[in-house]
Amino acid sequence: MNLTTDTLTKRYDEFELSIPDLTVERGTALGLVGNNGAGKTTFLRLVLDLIRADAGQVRLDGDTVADAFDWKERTGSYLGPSFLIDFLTPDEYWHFVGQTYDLSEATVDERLAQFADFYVDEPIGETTKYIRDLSTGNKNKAGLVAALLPQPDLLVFDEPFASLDPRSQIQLKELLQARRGDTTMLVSSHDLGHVTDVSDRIAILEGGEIVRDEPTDPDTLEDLTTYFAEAIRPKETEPADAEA
Amino acid sequence: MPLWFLLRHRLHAFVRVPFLGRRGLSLILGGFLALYLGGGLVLLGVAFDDLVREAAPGADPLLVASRGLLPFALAYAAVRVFVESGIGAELRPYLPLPVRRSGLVAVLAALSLFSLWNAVPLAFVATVCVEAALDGALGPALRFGLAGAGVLVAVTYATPMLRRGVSARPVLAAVGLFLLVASAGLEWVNVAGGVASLLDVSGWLFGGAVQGRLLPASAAGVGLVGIVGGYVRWLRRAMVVDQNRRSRTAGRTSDGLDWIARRGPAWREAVLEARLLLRNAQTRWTFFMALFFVLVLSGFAVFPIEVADLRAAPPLELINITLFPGLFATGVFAIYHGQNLFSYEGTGVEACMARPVSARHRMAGKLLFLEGGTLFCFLIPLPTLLLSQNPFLIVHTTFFLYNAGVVVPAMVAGATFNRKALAVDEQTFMQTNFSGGRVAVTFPLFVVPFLFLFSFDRLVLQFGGVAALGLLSLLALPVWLRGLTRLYNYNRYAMLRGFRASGN
Repeated sequence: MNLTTDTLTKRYDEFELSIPDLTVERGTALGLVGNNGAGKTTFLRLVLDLIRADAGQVRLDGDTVADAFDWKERTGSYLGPSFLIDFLTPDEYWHFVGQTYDLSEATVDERLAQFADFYVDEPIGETTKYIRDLSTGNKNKAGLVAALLPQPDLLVFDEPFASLDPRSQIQLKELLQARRGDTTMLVSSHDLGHVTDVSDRIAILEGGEIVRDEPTDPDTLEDLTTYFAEAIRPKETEPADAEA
Repeated sequence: MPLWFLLRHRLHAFVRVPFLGRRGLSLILGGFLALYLGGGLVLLGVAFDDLVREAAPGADPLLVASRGLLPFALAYAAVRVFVESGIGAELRPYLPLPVRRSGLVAVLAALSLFSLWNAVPLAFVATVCVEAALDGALGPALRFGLAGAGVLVAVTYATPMLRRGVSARPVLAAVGLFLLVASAGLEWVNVAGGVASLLDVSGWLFGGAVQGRLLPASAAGVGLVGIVGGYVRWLRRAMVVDQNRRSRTAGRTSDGLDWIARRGPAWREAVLEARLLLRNAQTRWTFFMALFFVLVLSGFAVFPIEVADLRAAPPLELINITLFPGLFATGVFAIYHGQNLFSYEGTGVEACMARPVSARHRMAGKLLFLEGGTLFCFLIPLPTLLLSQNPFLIVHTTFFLYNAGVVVPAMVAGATFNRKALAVDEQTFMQTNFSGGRVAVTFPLFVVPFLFLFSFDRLVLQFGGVAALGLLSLLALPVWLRGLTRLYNYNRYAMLRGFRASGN
């Protein structure tokens, strides 16, 4: 699925998200990084038509997300616990999600089997607990599995590695890396290492704007670390200021 | 943290919401209603001593009013348990902070008293006190004022505890209440004698307190302290956030519901709403409400009502014996649950909107669910009414059609104006969801049956008109659905914004 933005703008009081011209080609994984309040989640919500843009639009394969519906059938997303139906058990939730994507029970069961390793020590697929009674990490796992279940053309994740144990983080990374090339992905994360590993491109959001957008390479992690570290070091004084 | 810091913070929380204008409008509407009722009670209070002296010359108006305090408290508590949806403020964000629980409890207890539910009856109490004081009985007037205020405090604190108890055992509570009402109706208990005894007890307790007698005053004081103490203990227990409490029904999935869900996307949405109703304490309350009214209506089959009685009844009496039981017996489910549609999803509303479920199917699912509930309420007492050939069947069927055809779509439409998310799990014990937009859409529909009853004097036109309106609207549900879908699409961004700001 091809994602494009066209003078996309969203304003909140003193903050403005402005992404005038972004293109994410089909099968590309774009990693979004930035400080808190940079606008990452706002952008992802605009992509999923959960908030209304003040100007411009997001298009998926040419269709404006705010006006079309079909793109939802090819999109999987998880932005956080608000994406969960917490009075269902994980298994009920996954089957419910599968039904909304017109997947048969057999297909859902077959696909869920692929994720058995994802939660092998915590059998959330067999529990009778409601999602609201699970730990934060297991809640996130339930949401991530639900997003991956329909094998969508577009995956949108906000902080997918948050609250996951180290093994699960590695497993998720492998799942996402396996989908590179087939699935367009938008992954926002504060974990620079993981997001670099799963992305073809990294975009840095700052103050509502994309300040850098580059393909990933072996030096990307170091570049990002240097970029964010410099923000907390005091600015070096000019020679003239020093003499004064 | 001083108490007043918390109170000031709650005021900030009240005004810093995305839809302050709407909340303000809701407050203004509620305020006008309270002023109207309060004004009437003030006039009654002014005329009260004259009325008492005319009806019972030589009787002390304060003592007469005191006799009514206990029955008023019981009846008012029952009304508030049914009607009031919550009190106080959300204090969970403060729980992890180094703030004393006693301070939080004090804030909640104080805030809950500032309610129009208390202000309106207090207008009557204050007026009677002032009248008595102006007649020279300053001491008794002050004591009556204290007694009245104490009764309102007790009712305020008892109401949420009663509601929580009922929502935990809705079926048991409904059956118990029905047995109570049935016992009274079938004269298994002497209601008149019971009420007389209650008046006597109230007269001794509060009348004695007004007269300054030590024993009744102490008993009233101890009772009030007991209720306040019980409320404080209950609040402190409720503030312990225990994520590991498992519901008895956790994980028991219903094959029947699964089968229904496979019928199509709208049915799937309806089943999801049914699961939300069944698996959350707050929404199980709806079960209690619906069951109670339905069971009470079944009791009508025991009372011999003739068509001639309905024909001969004046409009006001006709409204009391037909419209209220008829409208609410089949409509209570749609009214009570329907007003909080979408709000109950508040915590997961993004889950609903991000999935490939069209707005049309979402709205169709809500309609199916509420229509199903309305049908359930219609069917339960139907065998009893049919077997007894009770003319109340006419009323029951009339209002079923009206509720199914008019009220249900209107409640769904009104719910799209909700802007506050409600948490439905058992840890939440305080929430209100008054929406001016929803009231504006739904309130006129409760007036329509009144118009039919007052405008015509023949039963066939009075009830036939209401039934015909309902049937026509029911047949036009596809048109309703198109409109509801547009309304949902118009409101969905604002709903999301409000639900996120609610923070539940």
